[in-house]
Amino acid sequence: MPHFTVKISPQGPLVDAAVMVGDARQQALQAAAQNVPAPQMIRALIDTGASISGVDPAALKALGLSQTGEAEIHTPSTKGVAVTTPTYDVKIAILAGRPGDLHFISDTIQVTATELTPQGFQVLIGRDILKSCILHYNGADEYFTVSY
Amino acid sequence: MPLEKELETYRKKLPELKAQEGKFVLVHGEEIIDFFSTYEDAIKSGYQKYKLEPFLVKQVHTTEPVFFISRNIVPTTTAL
Repeated sequence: MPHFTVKISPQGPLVDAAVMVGDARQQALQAAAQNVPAPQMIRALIDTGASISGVDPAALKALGLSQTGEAEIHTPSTKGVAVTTPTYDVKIAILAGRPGDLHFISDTIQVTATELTPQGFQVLIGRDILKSCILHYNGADEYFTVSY
Repeated sequence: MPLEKELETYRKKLPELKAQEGKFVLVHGEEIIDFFSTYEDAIKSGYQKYKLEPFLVKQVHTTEPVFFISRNIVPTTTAL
């Protein structure tokens, strides 16, 4: 199984990643003679406490995305009441290991827009992506490995 | 509000969609277009049929599921 291993940072299991428009949207943009926005290079936190992945609105805006769905979400900030959030279709690639190495690329997935930049990263990689991976978190030796 | 019409169509027709529970529905305007086994297939069909026009993709659930994020973040409730 392909895999990558990364040192755990003080903020947790962080990886370099890219958020990009999905293949179908890319083809629609090209058919309309519009530019395809460049992938957004960001930092992502692997978060097993998230059942859906989230992307900072600034990265989604830079991709020129339109809402294609909605989801009900509970977070500590919603104080026990689910809130309805717009969702967007994107692909997420994890760029971990040696510089230039490309690892995991997700299918086109549904993500929420979530203010994350103040926390030091722009994407939460949730269990919707991790469901096709094996995550080995070695806190004692301060590294984690993702096999996919 | 983006997708207002599509969301209203989905909610109005949801009682008729019980047999499609778990599938992904493509909605455009006041029409239920088709059902798909995966989110990616539904999105692909949406862009192929409607290009950059608004369309909705939603997993059919008679009881709306709730996603959880344990981190203390504030979800965005309005479209970009």
